[in-house]
Amino acid sequence: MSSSTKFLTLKTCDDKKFVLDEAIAVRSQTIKNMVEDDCVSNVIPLPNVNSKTMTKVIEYWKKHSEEGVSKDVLMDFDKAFVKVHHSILHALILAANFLNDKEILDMMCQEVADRIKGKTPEEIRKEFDIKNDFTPEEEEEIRKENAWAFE
Amino acid sequence: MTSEASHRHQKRSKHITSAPFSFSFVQDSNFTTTVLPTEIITEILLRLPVKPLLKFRSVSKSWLGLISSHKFVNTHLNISSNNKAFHRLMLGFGPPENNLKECFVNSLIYDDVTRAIDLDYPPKQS
Repeated sequence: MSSSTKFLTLKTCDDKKFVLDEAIAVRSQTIKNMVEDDCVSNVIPLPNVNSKTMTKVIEYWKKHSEEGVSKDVLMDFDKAFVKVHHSILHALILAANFLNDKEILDMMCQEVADRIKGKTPEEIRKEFDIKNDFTPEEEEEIRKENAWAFE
Repeated sequence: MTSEASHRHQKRSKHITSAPFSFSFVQDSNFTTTVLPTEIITEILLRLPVKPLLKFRSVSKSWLGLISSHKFVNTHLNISSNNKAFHRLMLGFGPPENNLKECFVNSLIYDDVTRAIDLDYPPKQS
């Protein structure tokens, strides 16, 4: 890799452009592969990511690329980073999945898991937009099998 | 990150890039709700303890199928047994009766104050 700073332009699905240091952008394995395969021309389109989500991702990338940041500072940053509405969490998960950034994906999945642990199946359906396709009898049957888990 | 986790992710990412899953956006009055693809739901559920998992079997048929599948159960077991955050230590002070305590190894090493739980051993006759 050359020592001079190279910049990449990322274009989100809502046509916003982000100019980013290549060294930071390659935190995304997807972008890294594109750079390594030399298939980056001027603009890298990110058809699955919107600008609001991308702004968050870049905020994370920049913080975690800063030199001389202590572990404690990063931990505090991460804690604050995941404190967002669940719709943003989900969007970040999809973006991290598309960009293939395991660090963000891992952190976000853990955050969702921590949040849903104490919820009821009904609350889960609402949060994940899932239709209850059980008949009341079937649902009752499953509940009975593991009644202690509902206590 | 533990080596097990990164190994798992390598396997997973390979799977995801080739997966034909698409996701949709559902317009809500205030914000957009995104429907997460199955492999992401799996990733999230793998991080849950057993109790909520059993509870979530009644969310939908697809969740029931996922949580009950051999593959899921085995992967979950592998992760939990490798997760040092859940390793616990049993401590006995003096005579064993009513004096057995349990605490998280992680807490013992990293926390200023370690919380120990009294274990009901031997179990009281009811």
